[in-house]
Amino acid sequence: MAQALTDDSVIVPVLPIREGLEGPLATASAAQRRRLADDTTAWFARNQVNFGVSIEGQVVQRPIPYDPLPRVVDSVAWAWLEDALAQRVKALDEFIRDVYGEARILRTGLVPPELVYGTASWFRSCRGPAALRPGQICIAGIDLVRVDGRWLVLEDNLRVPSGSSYALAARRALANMAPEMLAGQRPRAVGEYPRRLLAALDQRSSQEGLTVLLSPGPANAAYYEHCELARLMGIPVVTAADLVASHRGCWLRSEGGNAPVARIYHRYSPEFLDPLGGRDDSLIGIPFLFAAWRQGRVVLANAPTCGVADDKRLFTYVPSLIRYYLGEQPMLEQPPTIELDDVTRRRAVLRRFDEFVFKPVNGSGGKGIVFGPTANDEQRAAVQTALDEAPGAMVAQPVLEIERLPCVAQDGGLEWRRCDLRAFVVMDADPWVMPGGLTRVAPRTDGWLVNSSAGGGVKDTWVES
Amino acid sequence: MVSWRRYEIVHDSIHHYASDAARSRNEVRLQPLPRNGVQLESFRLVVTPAAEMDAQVDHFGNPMWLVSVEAPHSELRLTAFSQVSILPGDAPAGEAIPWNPVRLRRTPAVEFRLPSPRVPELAAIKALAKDMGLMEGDWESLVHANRELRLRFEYSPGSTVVSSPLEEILERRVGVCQDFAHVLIALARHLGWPARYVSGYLVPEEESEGLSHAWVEVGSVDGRWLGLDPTHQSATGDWHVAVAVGRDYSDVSPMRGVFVSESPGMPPEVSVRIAALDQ
Repeated sequence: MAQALTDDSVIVPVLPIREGLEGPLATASAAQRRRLADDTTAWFARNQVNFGVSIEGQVVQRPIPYDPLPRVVDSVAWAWLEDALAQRVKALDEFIRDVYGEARILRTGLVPPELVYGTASWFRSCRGPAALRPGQICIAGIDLVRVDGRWLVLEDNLRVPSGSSYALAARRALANMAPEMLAGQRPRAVGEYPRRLLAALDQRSSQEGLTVLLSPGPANAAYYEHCELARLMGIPVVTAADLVASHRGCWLRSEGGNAPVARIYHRYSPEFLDPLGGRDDSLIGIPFLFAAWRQGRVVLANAPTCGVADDKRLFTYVPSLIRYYLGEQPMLEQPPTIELDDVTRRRAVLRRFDEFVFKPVNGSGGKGIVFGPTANDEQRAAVQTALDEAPGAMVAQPVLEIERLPCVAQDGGLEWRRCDLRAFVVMDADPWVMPGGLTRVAPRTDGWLVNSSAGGGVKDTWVES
Repeated sequence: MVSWRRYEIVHDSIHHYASDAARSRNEVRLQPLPRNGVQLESFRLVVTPAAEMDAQVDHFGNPMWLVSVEAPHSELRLTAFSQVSILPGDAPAGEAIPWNPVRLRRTPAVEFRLPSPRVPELAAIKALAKDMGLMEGDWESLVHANRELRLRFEYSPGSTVVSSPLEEILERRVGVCQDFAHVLIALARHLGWPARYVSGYLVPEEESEGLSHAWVEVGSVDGRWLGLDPTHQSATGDWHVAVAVGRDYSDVSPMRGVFVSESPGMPPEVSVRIAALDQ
């Protein structure tokens, strides 16, 4: 395994590492563990805590796999993580506003101009007053892994960070099926997330008008989440056909007349929101939604500008953004991301294929990711072909031996599977980090990918109070 | 004494829908830019059926009209009436000064140096530049290319459509002003220059007819943009009235619209009339 090349200037925290098994069920018997696993899995099915998986081109909604053994994070480590996440998200927000404004950072040469002017994630149609306001990011989903006891960032999700409802369900399943577990440990509560999100939306506009959740519809993998968050926030779920926009604003169409919409929590990849502002082949867009947003007539959360900051090619520059905008040393480490458009570097990386993971620049959900150590000949050839056709299409990262956590095996015994943590940061006047987040679990003991679309499951995350 | 020349430009377009559009949203770029000795005396956009309109400025600084039609309609007619006056000899002229590549990458003008939707990086452009003996960062090479394109490409109205890709133009060696502009932009970028697309009008000299036109501007280190018109094999002059600038045609199309209808739209009927006015 390749070691992550560490940046000497990064502050490395000393984190207390818990000895032995995590979680209170470690000492329970196999039969007890198996029963809890079955009970909670049944709870997920009963409550239709679904995630859509693509099977032969069809989206099939099925309960997301659940493991009942919580990940436990001690309060000191968490307090450090909260500061580190807030720092990162603040710098990313500054970057977004800068590159939609004066683009000062490009004059310094710290970021290549291609990552702004040359990417489809930066929309010329979004230039305007709304793109300069603080809080372009309303919710950030930052993917973390622990390697040798240290937290590393693997990915920033700023376009449509999903998964918060599964974190809430993971807690509710235990509260319902094993209340005695929670009573003993008393982890910090995560349930205030919907209220925090609603407050952050309100903070972005004082205009009269509805707050709605805009969903691409039931075929979306995270449709459960759209309905569940809307229910918890007490706002309606709408689709594109329900909305109409002009430069003056946005309205909910109804028979009794159109009702003004002031705030939209959207669950769209932003290029599909407006066919005149993003992709002109979007059939689910709302024409002139960007025009209304640009002038501050309607709030979009997250703002459609955010994609420029979670492009995988930008990732490698995020520590520089933190230093440049905040004048601070980055707290969180991250593995180096290697761009492959340079032929010498590409050859060097491909010679040591087994030490790297290859990621498509514009991918999500784990699609197209190839792990060097486990790749078959076909996957190797696919990486080679993709890079021959477009050398900038993929980036490489060294393979990391990420932390494995105990999970309940078929027979009720314990098995150790790789896990990451998606942390949720809500940007109100100050950033707020959900005390917990979504621990995602690889589907098998030899699995590397934790993405839900790759069959991964979830765990509850307990932050000690 | 230098005298102003005045013109009225009437740009009329009718967009037909096979079946009624319930409503439509359109971005319209038809308002001339006041620049290079051109003054905009008046502008009026008339839309039928009745529409809600708002004038905004796009990323490139072009006036952009947002036109929303709420009532069902089977056709949308846009007529732009512009009156411009031109002060001859007021456009930048001379040579562009080449860039230091590192400095260019830290300047906003780099946006016009990078590939764009209609002007991707192509091996065929590299080959063409080599064949024409063009040199990087050399203004004379650009002037030469501007003169040569018409000799190597056939000007043939109707030979290409608005959406013909650059690859096809380079292969077939035919085109109209829009295509020549894209080829020259590609060559200029290949040679290290920021280059942008300009759409506008050519106002009539003497008895000739005015028309819609497209040309190129090349950025100089000192901030000037120098106009080259490959269709006319010359620098731009007092006859060029710009309406919009962008990286290529995709940034400046006169109308981009979305309508809600059962059936697709059809190509618009467009006519441009330009008349000299009394001074």
